[in-house]
Amino acid sequence: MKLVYWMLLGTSLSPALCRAQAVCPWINAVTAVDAPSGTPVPADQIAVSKNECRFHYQDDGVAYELWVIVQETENGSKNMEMKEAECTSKTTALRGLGNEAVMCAADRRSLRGEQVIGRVRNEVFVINVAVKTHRSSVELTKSLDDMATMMAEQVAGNLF
Amino acid sequence: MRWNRAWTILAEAAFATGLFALLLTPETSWSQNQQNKYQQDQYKESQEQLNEKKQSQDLQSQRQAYSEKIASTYNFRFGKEIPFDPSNAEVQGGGFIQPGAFPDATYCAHCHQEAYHQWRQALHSNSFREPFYRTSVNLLNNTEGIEFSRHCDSCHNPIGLLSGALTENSLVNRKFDDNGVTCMVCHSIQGLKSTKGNASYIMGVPSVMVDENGNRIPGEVPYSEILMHTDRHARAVMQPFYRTPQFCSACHKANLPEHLNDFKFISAFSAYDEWQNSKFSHQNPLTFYTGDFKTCQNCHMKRAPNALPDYGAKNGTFASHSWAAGNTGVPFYYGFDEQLEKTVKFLQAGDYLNVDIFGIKKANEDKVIGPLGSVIFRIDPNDILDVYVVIQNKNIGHSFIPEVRDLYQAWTEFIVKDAGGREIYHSGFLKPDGMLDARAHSFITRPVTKDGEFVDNHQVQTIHAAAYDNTIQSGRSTLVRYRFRVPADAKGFITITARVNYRHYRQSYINNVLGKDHPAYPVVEIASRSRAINIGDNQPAPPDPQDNPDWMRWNNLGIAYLDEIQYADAVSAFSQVVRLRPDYADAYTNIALTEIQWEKYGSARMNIDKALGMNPDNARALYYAALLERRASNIGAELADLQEVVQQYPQSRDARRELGIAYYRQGDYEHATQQFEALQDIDPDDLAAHYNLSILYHRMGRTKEAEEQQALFITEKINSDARVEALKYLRAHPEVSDESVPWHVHTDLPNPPHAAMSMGDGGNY
Repeated sequence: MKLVYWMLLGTSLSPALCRAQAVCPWINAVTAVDAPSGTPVPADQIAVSKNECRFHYQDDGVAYELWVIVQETENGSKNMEMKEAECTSKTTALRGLGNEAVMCAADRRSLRGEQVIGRVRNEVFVINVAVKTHRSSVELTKSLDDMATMMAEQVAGNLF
Repeated sequence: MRWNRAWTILAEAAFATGLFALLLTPETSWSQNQQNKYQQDQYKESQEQLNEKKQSQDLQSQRQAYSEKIASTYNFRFGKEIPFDPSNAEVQGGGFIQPGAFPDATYCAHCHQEAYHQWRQALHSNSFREPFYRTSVNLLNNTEGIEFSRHCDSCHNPIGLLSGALTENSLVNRKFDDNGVTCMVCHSIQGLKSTKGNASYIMGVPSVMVDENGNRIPGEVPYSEILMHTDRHARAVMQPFYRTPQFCSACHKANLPEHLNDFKFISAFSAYDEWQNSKFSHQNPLTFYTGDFKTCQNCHMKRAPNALPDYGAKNGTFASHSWAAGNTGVPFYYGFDEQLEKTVKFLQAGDYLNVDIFGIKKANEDKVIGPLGSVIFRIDPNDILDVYVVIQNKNIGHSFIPEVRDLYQAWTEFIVKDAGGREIYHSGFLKPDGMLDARAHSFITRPVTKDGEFVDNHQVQTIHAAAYDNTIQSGRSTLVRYRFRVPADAKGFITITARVNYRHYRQSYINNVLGKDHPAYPVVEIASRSRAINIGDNQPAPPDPQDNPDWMRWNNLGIAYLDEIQYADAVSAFSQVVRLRPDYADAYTNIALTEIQWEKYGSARMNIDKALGMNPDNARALYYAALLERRASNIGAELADLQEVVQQYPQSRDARRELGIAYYRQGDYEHATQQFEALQDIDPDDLAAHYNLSILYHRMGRTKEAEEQQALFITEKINSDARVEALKYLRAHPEVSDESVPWHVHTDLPNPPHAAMSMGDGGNY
């Protein structure tokens, strides 16, 4: 009897726990995957842990990944510099985003990515938007830059 | 564009009917070509109408489906019928609006390049995303719950509110966040609920066109359509009330309602009410000065030549969509140099404030030497001098500082230097860490919690009282006194400078938002005046171009004394105005109104008679005459005077209130009720109206209405613990407690002793 009780309780609680775990504290999932308003984002597109949120989704047949990392640090500026060392291109300063922020390329294996590294007070954030492609073009870079900047605005806004 | 077979059949039927009708028309002289052309046009037009109708119905059903979906998970914390509470926002037809229903600003930019360019750097477009707002609203979200932020976001992020995004685990795509108050927010508002503020707007379905019957067509339409029917575009996006101050009041007036603070209604700010009471509204007979009629838009949306093409431009000028005002902080943060430059230029436009180093009072002497520049006097080494600086809110249509006066910072900087440039006394300096000298005279409000702690981070839901409020209302003046000793070795002259500085925001708030390692935010000098004073004899000197004439300098001093409850000094100052301007009726009225407050009715009567002797229809004098008639129990004269004032100024709150009281005292409840109802139309939160209407309705048997008014009076009257809470703060902060006293002196000298007790390191300045 006890076993049945715990099984039932577990069944009734588990969806709620999953949903709770899937809520990214710094960006709303619908915005992150650019889904139409009112549409729930499937749980398999979101992975959330203490300092990270990852979103995987398709748009027009292209596979995207949005990776959000937020870390509280002792020295925000110094920690930002460490993160910038991982850039695969020169950095460009962005004004009006957090206390300070930079944009750079962040290519990983078969992923073409752009990222914003910034901080709000002592919280450092990295917003990485990547697509699975070996191609590279000015248009793609611009598109990824715009997406990363918009997502960074959302994250920084929620960190203030 | 999708075609629907059923609608096509209907269109064809309509075409056929039209054709049949055409055959019956008497205009048979048309050529066959003309007839064909007409038929084709008719067909095309009917097709377009049907398509528009179809699209409109599709959008309406989409909106309904969206609204229902959002409602299924929305937190209706404050009631199912009031989804946007604690704000007053309302949607025409109810429900939620999809964010995508608001055409994006870039859509408007196609034809309105200048508007878009200006708006992008303006506060309206950055009203939500900017960090000084986000820090405050995030704290509210994290401590109380996101549904409470509906109060703030109703004006800072209306699409967020109306789309139902302000609920836990929202399913709304927030791409619109960086557009704040976008074009189609303001240009979709179809009405105003009242002048209560807190987003008292009625949002229509966003439309950039109306159809031929005036029905709003939701969403975007092709630019070619707009250009073909610019009149229908204008009808969709412009309303006559957009040009009124009432429109601005929807968001530039705010209170803290009970649903927000779980306490009671607290009035927050009202630029609208301040304007309505100013000389610029022409609605208040009691202003100290008169001026040309000006609205909010006349100052903040001035027309200027447009640099970019814009179909909204008229004769090469465009009404500003930069809304330059006081906020230098946000453009500085974003690096919006153009907006920053416009804002600084606006603040320094010249005649908003007047700084007058009016006079000097020597220690142990009663007489104030002044107005400086017009009198002969002498000072000597070792003299202890009180310098009287009068700051006049001369041409601002609202208070200085307006609105969120706990966040902004304006203060007087006062510097005395000897002939060699050595500093003798300095008040209102910035410390190396950017914090303001705690003992500076500042024009701010200090809101406090129920525990008497300063609300440093703008958590408005915790505000219970104001420890003090040193803002200067429109048209009024304040007197700031500075005391210092002339050095024993001073030779030649000393230079005295008084300036009013402004910083957006208060340094401790910038630190809260960005931490302490941020760049220094701009400090703008709004107005200043310097005078060189000889050690020895001083002769009259010619005035500076910005100086007020002497009679006005005395008048401003009198106004400042009056507000400091220094009645004898006020009467003395106003008497100097009479001496210099015996033709100026208001000088006599000013003496009279001071004496009424001082309860010297006999003398007040003499002075008001002098004012009325110059002009028997002078509404300002008649108002005070009525108060004197009341005192003398001349009810008929009291009524006649007030009726005349109301006839001349039907929007005068004071006259309506007093006339209501006069009728009430006469037992004429019907007319008394009319006056208080009119007063409530002018200001829905007027306490006197609530109080008196609750009694009047009760006496007239209108019990339900009486109860409503009584409830409003109880919730809106000032918190009875406010003074206690304010004193808790002031007791713990002696370095600023003087600021709460109408009469105070700023000094580094050991007298008065408490002034030197603290250097103010414990405060948030």
